[in-house]
Amino acid sequence: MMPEAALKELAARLLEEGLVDLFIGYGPGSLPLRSTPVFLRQAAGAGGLILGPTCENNLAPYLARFPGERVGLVVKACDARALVELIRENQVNRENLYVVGVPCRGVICRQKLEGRLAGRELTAGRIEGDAVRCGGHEWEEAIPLDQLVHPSCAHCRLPAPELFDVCLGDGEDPVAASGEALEARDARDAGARYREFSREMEKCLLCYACRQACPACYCPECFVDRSQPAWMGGSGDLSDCMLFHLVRALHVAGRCVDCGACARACPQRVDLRVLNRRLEQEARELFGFTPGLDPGHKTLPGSFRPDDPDDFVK
Amino acid sequence: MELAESGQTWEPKIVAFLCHWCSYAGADLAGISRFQYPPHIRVVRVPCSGAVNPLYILKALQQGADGVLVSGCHPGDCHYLAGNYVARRRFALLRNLLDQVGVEPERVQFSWVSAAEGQKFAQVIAEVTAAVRALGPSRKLKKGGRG
Repeated sequence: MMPEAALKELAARLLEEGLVDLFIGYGPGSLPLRSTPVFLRQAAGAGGLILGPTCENNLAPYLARFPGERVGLVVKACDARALVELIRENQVNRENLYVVGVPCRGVICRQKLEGRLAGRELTAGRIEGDAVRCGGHEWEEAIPLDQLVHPSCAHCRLPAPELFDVCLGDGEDPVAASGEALEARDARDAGARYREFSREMEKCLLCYACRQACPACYCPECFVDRSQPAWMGGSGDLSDCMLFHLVRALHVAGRCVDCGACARACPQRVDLRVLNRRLEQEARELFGFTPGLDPGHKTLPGSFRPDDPDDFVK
Repeated sequence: MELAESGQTWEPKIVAFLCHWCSYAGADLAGISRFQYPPHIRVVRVPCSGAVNPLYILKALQQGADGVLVSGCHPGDCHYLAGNYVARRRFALLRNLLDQVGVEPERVQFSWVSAAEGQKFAQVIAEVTAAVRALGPSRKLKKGGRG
């Protein structure tokens, strides 16, 4: 059975038999090649569930809204890693969860898609095998999926869900070349790195969509929302944007699972993954830490080893 | 540039977060012992180096500090047993992150100074001041700075 059909059947059964109170998955969005999270409480809606490269949201952050309820949740590999982190940090109760792992071949990057459309209006789109069939007024084009996958998917090193109660499909190979090594340390000089950082930060509106989409950013009150002390100025100064993104990167260091939800949520297309990936690399190289795999481990910032590197300390 | 026009010379401003149990007492000892060290630090006493949020460090740089020093107890000597170990991890990440975004990591310095090390405290301050002076005024993260 195709994973999507299996998902519909499974969701209907879970809700019918009362095994879960709520089922969170994806449904078709109102625009072509978009999907939207759906929250089902009745089995009748399960027929509308979809799967595929348009299912870009990480659904794990929604769990915080349903404390104490038994929830069925659709997770891709990166979402499952985010879920492992949430379980590790006691944010969700594993016993209340029914985790449905789904195969993922990468999600569509809207930026890349818009680049290919080059201004043409997309009125219809569907996925057919390895191709994304796009159509509009008097035009049609099939774009190979691997040319459209999101950069975080193109770098995905762990494309199969690690945590699930049931895993649908037989672990399809991701379209993009997985296991691609992270780039080595940025070889450009400090000036070039700072210029790039400034260029990205200048785009930021401080709308905090990245924070809202991030599974690791679940603080009830974020430091930027504090008024006493007011850590952020209200003016949106470049230095405020830098401060926010640097501190956020440190907050999610060793916890970020590189799902790319922040970058996809950003209305300004800020390349938010640069900081996170550098810290992910440091976490692995300095502390031997890979987030999202084992819920039994302590968190990176909440633990230490006596022999941690300290050559930078006087 | 503004300084040059007004004929003033630039002197580094350094914010030093000192842990109450070791480094602050070390600074006291340096004072009592009359050790000379450069007068460019502004001391903020904190309960523990582990209480220093990287946000404090970045905020100091944003508000015009040219450098930040965080100093705590030697590993194993923390009054709260492990505060400095946790801090060390955090600061390693902060330094590397600053390096990634092209901000000189030398602006943010760390040291372990015990309550008995007045001499070392004076030496650390001299070294940090020299390092920050060599880098010049900090603009990259400063409010209204624009690199």
